[in-house]
Amino acid sequence: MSAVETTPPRVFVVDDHALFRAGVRAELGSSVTIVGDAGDVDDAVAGIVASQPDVVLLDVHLPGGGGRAVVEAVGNRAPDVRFLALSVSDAAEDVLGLIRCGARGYVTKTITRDELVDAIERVRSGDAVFSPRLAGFVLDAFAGDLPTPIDPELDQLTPREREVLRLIARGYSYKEMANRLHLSVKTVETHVSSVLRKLQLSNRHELTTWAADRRLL
Amino acid sequence: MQVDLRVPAGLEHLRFPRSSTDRLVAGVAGGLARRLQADTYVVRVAFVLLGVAGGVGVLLYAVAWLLSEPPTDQPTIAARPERSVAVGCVTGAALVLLRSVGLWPGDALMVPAVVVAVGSALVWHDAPRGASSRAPTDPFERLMSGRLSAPRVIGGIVLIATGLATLASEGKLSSVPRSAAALALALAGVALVVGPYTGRLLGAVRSAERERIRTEERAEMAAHLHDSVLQTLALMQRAADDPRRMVLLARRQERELRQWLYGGGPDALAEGSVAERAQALAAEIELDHDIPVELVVVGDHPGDEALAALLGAVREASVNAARHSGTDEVDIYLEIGPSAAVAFVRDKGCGFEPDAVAVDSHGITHSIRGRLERCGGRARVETTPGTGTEWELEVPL
Repeated sequence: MSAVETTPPRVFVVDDHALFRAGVRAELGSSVTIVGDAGDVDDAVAGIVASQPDVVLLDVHLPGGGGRAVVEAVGNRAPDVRFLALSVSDAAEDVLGLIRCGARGYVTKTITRDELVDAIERVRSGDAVFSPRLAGFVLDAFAGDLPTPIDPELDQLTPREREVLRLIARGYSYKEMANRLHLSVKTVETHVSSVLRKLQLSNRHELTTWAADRRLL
Repeated sequence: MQVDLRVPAGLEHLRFPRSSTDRLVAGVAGGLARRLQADTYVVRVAFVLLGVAGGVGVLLYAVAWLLSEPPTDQPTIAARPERSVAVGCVTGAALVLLRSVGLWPGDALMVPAVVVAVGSALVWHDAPRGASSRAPTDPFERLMSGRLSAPRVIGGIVLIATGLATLASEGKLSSVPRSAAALALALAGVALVVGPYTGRLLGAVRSAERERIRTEERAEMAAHLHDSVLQTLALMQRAADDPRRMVLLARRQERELRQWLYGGGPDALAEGSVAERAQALAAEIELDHDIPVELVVVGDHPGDEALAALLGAVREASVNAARHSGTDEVDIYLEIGPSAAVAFVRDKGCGFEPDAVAVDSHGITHSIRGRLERCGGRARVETTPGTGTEWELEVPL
């Protein structure tokens, strides 16, 4: 573990705005190794498979199919690559859709440099990264009771998980949360990862979207 | 269903796509009419008349279907009157031929039927679209072009009436009670005269409606972009030497545009639901106090007095944080549940001694606590000097 953490993470940037890619390169340059970037789905898939980065910073909206298409196409061809969605102005369905198909977190582009470096490090080590906005989306998706839960354990958040998500939404960092809840940071991370797993495996999201589309909620 | 029927070599050029828009059975007549540049109505009538004459039309329809290809999206083209007349003439010649070889149900039926068909085709021949821009001088062209010119309609109706009357009087239908036959024929006449017109009118109304909606949406979007994005861009040009203000302008615009694209109608920011009003509130504080406000809302509600009070308290707490705490960001979390709504307003600024200010501070006593307590809610503050402040504001629903 410590051997991994001493080398800077290898990062691939996917965003259709060249200006933004250049900005990320300039800002992160010293803390991570940028191994490549791409502006559309096909270039991104080819580049990621060729360079096998640790973490891909992925825009939700991309020409040629969106971030989802990249995650799905890379799939088995680079199983160790982890995705962190980095975007702005997105609908809950798009963000949750990307998380469900495998991204390990979502942060907004207004994130500070240090927070982004921290998030990349966290995703590389296999943890989940939830921004306040993503925590809000998830709490919304898990609100209320499902009429027919497929698996009750997956379809409900535990009170502790709910509490952690609320604190994220309220703007608490993992460390502040750990202090407040008298837990270790590692335990907080475990809760967040468990929420991520539930989000990816339960049928909550589809049902919520389905209901929202028909204005039942 | 994919049927792979090989068209004999040398006949490929005869193939034509069926019509997906102009269809009654399989779109063969529509496709064929397009290929011949004739009127669909004329082609249909030809198939029907030839079909009555010993089933030849049915056979021809089957052959045409074998020659045809699946529909492709092709623009509609104007039928040319002379082509429609040509189709009519060929049909007439074919009928004469069929009569001489004996595939004929009898003059008493066929002659009036042909007269009716010619009459209705005259009424319903689809004049070339766009041809109205120039006035036709040729009498034939004047007769055939222009939608529903008076001589065409009158001539057509006279032919239809004559045909139907002949049909009624000439024995073929004499076994049917006379009054019922007369009624049926009158109805058939009305259908022949009015039916296609109704169809076309409905089509025209639908496309006019679509066009109107498109135009309105475009105008609304242009107006919105002008009021929001363009104004912000103008403000940003003037604030070019103040990066912090530029960031705030951009953030406010981003928030507002997102709101407009993904939720709520055009007036969402003015009234709208609680979530929409919270967005507007956050944007306002950002701009007024030059500080980023991170807002997360879970759930939503159309809004009532208690929620209005809650939003008022949130505003007061956020403004206090922006003004007095020295923080560089305010976090607002608003959760609207089934039985209560709760809001958290948090800053990482200097904090304060709650006992020292609670008594004489108008803002905290009235604008936060008093406001919430009046509608059965409560306010709780968690703060220590040096570590920031968090308000927990709650109202029952």
